[in-house]
Amino acid sequence: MKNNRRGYVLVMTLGLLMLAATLLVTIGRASTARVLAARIEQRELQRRWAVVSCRNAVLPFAGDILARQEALQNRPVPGYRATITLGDQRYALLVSDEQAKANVNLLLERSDKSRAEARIRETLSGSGLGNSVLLRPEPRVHAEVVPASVAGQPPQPVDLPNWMSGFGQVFTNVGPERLLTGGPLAPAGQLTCWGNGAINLMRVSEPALRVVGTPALTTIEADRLIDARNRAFAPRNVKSAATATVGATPPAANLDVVANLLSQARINPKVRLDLALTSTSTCYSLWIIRQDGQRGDYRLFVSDQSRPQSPRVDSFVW
Amino acid sequence: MNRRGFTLIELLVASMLSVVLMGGVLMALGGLARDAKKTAGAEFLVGQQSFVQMLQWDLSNARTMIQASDAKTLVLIGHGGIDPDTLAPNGRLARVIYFFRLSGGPWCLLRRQEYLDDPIRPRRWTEIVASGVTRVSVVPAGGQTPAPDPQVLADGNELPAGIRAGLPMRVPQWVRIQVAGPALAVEKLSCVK
Repeated sequence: MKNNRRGYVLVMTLGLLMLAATLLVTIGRASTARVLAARIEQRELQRRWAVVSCRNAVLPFAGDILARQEALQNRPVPGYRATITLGDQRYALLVSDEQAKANVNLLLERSDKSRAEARIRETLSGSGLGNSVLLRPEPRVHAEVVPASVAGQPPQPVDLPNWMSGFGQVFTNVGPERLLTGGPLAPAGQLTCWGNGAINLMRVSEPALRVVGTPALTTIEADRLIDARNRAFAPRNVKSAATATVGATPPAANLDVVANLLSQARINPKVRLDLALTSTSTCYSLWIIRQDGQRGDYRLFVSDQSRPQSPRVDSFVW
Repeated sequence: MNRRGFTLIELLVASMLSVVLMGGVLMALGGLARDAKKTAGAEFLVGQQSFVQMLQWDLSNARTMIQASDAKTLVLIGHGGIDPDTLAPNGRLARVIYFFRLSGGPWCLLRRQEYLDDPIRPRRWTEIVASGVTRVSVVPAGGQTPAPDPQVLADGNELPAGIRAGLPMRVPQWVRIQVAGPALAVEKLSCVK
């Protein structure tokens, strides 16, 4: 009988190969997990820096961006949307003039809560958000002290208390995607909670002017005023209109533009004081939206320079 | 019948393979132990990072922060409301307080939220957000000096009983979030505004 013990070597070799294979698989899986984690971190870092870059590159120049678009399009541009790609991520940027919208604080200041809610519902008719409007004003708000207007400067609106300082106080459980649905007539394009209450006549939309203009302006007067404003953007007048919307316009010019438009629309000049009409803006917002498959990432930055002694940038993240 | 034993070469090869095999097994065991340690550490770190992310989120939505000098309390006032039922952000005006409590064993960091826009139903709720942390501070970065918030100063800034904090400040754009505990020390530079 031949005793062949060499078979043990083969068994040992096979066992060794099996162990080596197991080890390699383990290392491979660990490496894959690390690569995945690194990729997630990389995307997150890219997103954070993209937001910082967009905010710093766009928000301080929001007024100039809108003025340039007005000059190019020969019409008022209260909001401008652009899409950019940074790395492999796409971002939608939405720049808006907050003084071209109906100010919720102004509505609350001039009427009671239920009337203000009714007017907001009227403004948002068709958006499906009427039932979600529920104003929750901050109970203890003290207005900041503002120096009296200097002679020759445009009339300053009464310093508006910030009863409402975010959309979360206006709507109940409404996400940012619903605030932005509807293009120019989206709730976020029609309403604002920021600024000093002054209305930029050169950019205000017709529904917003009707809402905040009542009762100082009738519907017909509001229409005439909007028509007069739109005529100012006609090609032959575009240069003067575009100039009038830039923030650096001298106060006297600002007064003239508003007074001229009121005169053309045959409206009592006193309305300018009642509604704090102006042709310049000091409050702008920037939405930064990243749509990554099914998941959306929404950020809102609001630059409010209407109180020179306390300029501020508010941010909202969902 | 050949009763000859193993040859010298066979023994040498078998010994060599055994050494390699033992080495491989030892390496695998060592690796497993290391991985176990790393996993435990990573889980702890993930917990801390999610807490830091939550703090960043709260800072982004806050307009005012009030911080105690001993880094034991941080009060944030702003639109960082979270629905207690769905845990989804609802953007409501809320006061968020990060504070510490000794809960059985280690110190726990708690987050308390109450709505400020509805004094009748503030819906206070508190949850533990981290353990093993003993200090949390938010320092303005990039040479910024925090500006006082006149609005909150005017409001009188009533804080719940037992919570001591400093002066109300506007949340700056860049902050350095410092988290410290017996087993960790994390410092993170963050743009929150």
